[in-house]
Amino acid sequence: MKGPRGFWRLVWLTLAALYFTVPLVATAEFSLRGGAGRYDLSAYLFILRDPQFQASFRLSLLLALETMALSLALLVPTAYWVHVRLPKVRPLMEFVSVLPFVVPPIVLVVGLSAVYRGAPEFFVGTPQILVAGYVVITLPYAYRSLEVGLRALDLRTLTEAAQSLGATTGQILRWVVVPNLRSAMLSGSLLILTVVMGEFTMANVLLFYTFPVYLNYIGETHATPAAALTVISFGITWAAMLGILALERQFGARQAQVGAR
Amino acid sequence: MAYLEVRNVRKRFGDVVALNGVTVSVEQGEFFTLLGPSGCGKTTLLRIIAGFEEPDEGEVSLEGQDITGLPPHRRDMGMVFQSYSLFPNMTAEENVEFGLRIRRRPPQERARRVAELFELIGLAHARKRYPYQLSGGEQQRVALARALAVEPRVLLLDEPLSALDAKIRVQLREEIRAIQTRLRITTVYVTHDQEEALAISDRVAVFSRGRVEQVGTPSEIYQRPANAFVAEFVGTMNRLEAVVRDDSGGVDYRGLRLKVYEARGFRPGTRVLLLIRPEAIQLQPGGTGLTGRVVSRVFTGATTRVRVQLDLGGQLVVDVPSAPAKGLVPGLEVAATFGPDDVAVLALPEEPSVGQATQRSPSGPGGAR
Repeated sequence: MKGPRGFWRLVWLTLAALYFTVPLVATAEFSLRGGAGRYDLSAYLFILRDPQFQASFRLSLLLALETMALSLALLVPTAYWVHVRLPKVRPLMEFVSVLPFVVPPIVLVVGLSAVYRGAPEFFVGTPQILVAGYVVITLPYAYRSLEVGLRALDLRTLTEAAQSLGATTGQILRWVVVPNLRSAMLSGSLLILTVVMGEFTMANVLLFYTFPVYLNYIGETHATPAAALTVISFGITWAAMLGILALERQFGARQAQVGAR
Repeated sequence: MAYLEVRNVRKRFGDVVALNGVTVSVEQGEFFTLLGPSGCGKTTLLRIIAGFEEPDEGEVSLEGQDITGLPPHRRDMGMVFQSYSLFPNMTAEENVEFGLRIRRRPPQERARRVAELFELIGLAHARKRYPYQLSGGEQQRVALARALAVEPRVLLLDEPLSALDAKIRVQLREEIRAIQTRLRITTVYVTHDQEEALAISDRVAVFSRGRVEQVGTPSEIYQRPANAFVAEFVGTMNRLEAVVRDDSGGVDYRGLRLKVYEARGFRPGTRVLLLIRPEAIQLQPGGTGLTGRVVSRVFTGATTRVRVQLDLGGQLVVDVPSAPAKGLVPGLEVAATFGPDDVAVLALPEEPSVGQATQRSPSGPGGAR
């Protein structure tokens, strides 16, 4: 850290750190203001006691769990099959998996409504209709996580080893593929969680009261509790991200040792 | 009918012909090796036997039953792979138990069998370890135990030692052979290492470009190669072009008369190739006959490899015990001799064509050219 290069490095690092921390610290500081120049937790208590918060939070969490289940049930066998049996299709899968990035959510909503026109009313009326959309918008994250996990394994050889020992495809998935992809599946799930907990457009347009919709409503009506809510939702995202990092460290360490002398 | 039969199997991948009409039969309890350079089709044949690939033509039968279309998980064959293939999420013990669990054997039986196998591979202390905690040699031993656990009808090994250190490779191949002999399990082994093939097999099939060049015991393959490819591929071979002179084994090498018993069957006037192993030749300083000059020598431990430029043209590679080889300094005049029964003879095509030498002899070390 000597000389002009070290100095500039420090300057840029400081600026970057300020760019990220100032808004956060300011929001946190604002959320703690109790009026009349005092700090307290009243904004947080307001949020936590609000039944709408509880309901919307519970709904979003439920949708996230359902999205995870459906995504993994669809993607794990598909990704495995593509890897082992149809490696030629892999580039196509990669392309499809990033498509949701280029389709704006509002377009997706319009498309979904068109698809569900004529569907039974009880289904169109439930928030579960959102899960289908969420599976699509979280596809890039979920597929990428699984890809990374699959690539770290010599799945072809493992599959053949299991086959020669008498295992059927179902048994291979259950005993070999899923256990070895556990970390990849978890990190994919946490990414799904953060995306679903933050998705506003679809829920708002389809008139479901999810956590981000509630966040938006509070933001328009209650200034301090909105800041508190932002800090809470930021905390959820960070917990999920740190969870992924911790998992990847564990996962990576184990993978590196496979095949060691 | 043999225990395991492969009849007239053909397989191509795109434009590449991997197997071009291969027929082999393996007897029950036999250790049978598929030997050849990379890309010769030996691994493809093993994968067809295992059921991972389907042949375009031909059939595979086991105990008289056609299994060509049977999926791999119903073939009852154990396989050990070249790359480490243990399930990383399971301990060594769970790996070995896997096939038994799939077959829903009762727990007591599974435990007994697993214990037996760890005893057999000498790794009883490592049962609870995960694959990443085992060395390469240990992983392959566990993979062998895993394949043996289900008492397969055939054991298939696809270059299981190629990723290991030289010393462990030799040790483990002896263990594999010992276990195979003890269990009398029919085994098909793939390798590109001719020394390995000769050391552990009952019989060897030498492959080249999707075809079987020769099937025989290791000593047949080594001492009486069926053609130039086998002679070249298996060990080092000296090659001298000669013409048969009479029907009592007399041949003519560039004007020099030599005695070769195996030439007795050939018509006088036939052009033949004399094949002589480096260790079958003796060198004496001075002397007459097949004379030449030492050009180089390479110390390899117990023996020293001496290269001799013959006065009549051509070179000989000779393996001499290292102690007497001390006197064979480069430049020394020597005479080479060999016993009349130490030479294999192959007929050459009638009419020599331009470029015939390259056509006949895939490049290999030690050919007398």
